[in-house]
Amino acid sequence: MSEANTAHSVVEPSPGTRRFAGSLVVLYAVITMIPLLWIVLTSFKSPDDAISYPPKVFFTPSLEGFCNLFTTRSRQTPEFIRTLGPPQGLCDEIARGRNMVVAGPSNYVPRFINSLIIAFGSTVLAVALGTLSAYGFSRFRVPLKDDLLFFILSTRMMPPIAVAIPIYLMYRTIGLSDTRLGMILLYTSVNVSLAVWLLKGFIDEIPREYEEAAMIDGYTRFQAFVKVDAAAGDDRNRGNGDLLPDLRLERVRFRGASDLRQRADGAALHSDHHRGGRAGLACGRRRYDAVSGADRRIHGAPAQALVARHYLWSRSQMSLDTHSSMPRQLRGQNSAARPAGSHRDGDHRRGRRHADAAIFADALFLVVRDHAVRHGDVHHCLEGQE
Amino acid sequence: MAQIRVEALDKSFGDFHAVKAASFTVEDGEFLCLLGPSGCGKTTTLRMIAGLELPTAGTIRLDGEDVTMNRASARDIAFVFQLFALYPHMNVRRNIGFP
Repeated sequence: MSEANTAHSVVEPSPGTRRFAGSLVVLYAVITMIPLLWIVLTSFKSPDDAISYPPKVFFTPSLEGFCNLFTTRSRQTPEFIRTLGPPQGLCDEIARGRNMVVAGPSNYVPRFINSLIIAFGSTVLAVALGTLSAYGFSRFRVPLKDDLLFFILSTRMMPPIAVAIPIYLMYRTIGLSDTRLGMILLYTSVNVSLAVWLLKGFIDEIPREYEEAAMIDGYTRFQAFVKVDAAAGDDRNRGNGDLLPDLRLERVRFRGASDLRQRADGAALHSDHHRGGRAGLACGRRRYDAVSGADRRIHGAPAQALVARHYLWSRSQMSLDTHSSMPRQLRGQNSAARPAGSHRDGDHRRGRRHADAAIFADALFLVVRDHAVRHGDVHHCLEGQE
Repeated sequence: MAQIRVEALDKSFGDFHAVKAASFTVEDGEFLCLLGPSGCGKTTTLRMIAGLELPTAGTIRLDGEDVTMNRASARDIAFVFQLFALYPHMNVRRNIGFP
């Protein structure tokens, strides 16, 4: 945003601050990585070096640790070892130095596969069940909702050891002990509570209007969830989505129509509804403005449905009114930067004006849509030709 | 010839009676404005017509067809939300083209 470069920005850090913060982060990252580096180094030490005290920083690297991990060895007398042929492979050679021979592969790989299956299985199950449950709690009126949610959370307050023995006895009776399925079910039942609480937070943040709009457009509830929520969540996780329309409009307003025209397929929306309730739509080189509020006049040709929608939105954000008393540089940079609750005398009057704007918008919606369709402007704008 | 007909529409949330016996007809091309204070049931009525809430009693007819119990996707109707319900992960063209 180019407005951020004005004389003194409160939000943007200066280059010096930026560099200082950057070097702090890098220093912290290096310190954090030292234990990991130590683990990797230890894996290349011989068993004696690995447990020596004081610890050795400089040592002769050896692959013995890896040989011990992937093979089983048996101890033999030196006489017997001498009767064998030459050592087979590097690990055998290392083992013979310690009066042992390689007897076969270890159980490490199958055990690791067990862990992978159990971890993936229980994660997939917990997330799937947790999403369904979280969606229900987030979107529907569930009787005793708070109590049920607390019950779900309370399962995490129980010390696991308290139920270890009863669960073991049950598992043995129904034949689930020593099975992957048993482990998956157990981990799922523990983790699903965390999944419900985490996912409920995410779903709560996605306005339900998105889904409802999708349902009116012809999707079932489940399809709407997949199309809208999953996509919106994904978008936000990748860091390029402005999930809340609030932020979205801020960006729209300060980008300027020319930049936005390329971004939004030919249609650009600009507004300054904080002062006098004025909104407009730039379409190619033509600009439609609509003025509402105190004087309720329509300037120029009527704009499109988007303008009306914009008015509706601005009414729903009446708390934005305090916004207009802020310095220009501050406006639009960050919605969080607005002073909350700094109400002044004029706010009631302004609130009324916004209510008027909403009624105006309802009417404008029909008039404007008809006009725009009749003159082919909707088509023209959305095709982005010009 | 489009027509929205609402007959004796009732909606309760638990003990709270949100909409009480609402009846009106919107003819083709007519522009109807529901005016009232906050919490008087304007939005609830619209949401029931769109199919986002199920009414407790009453019928909703679109073009004479009883759609009271149809889900939103099975009704041929559009709705503009109070919140700016544009999908943030789509551009303008895809928003308009959705679904």
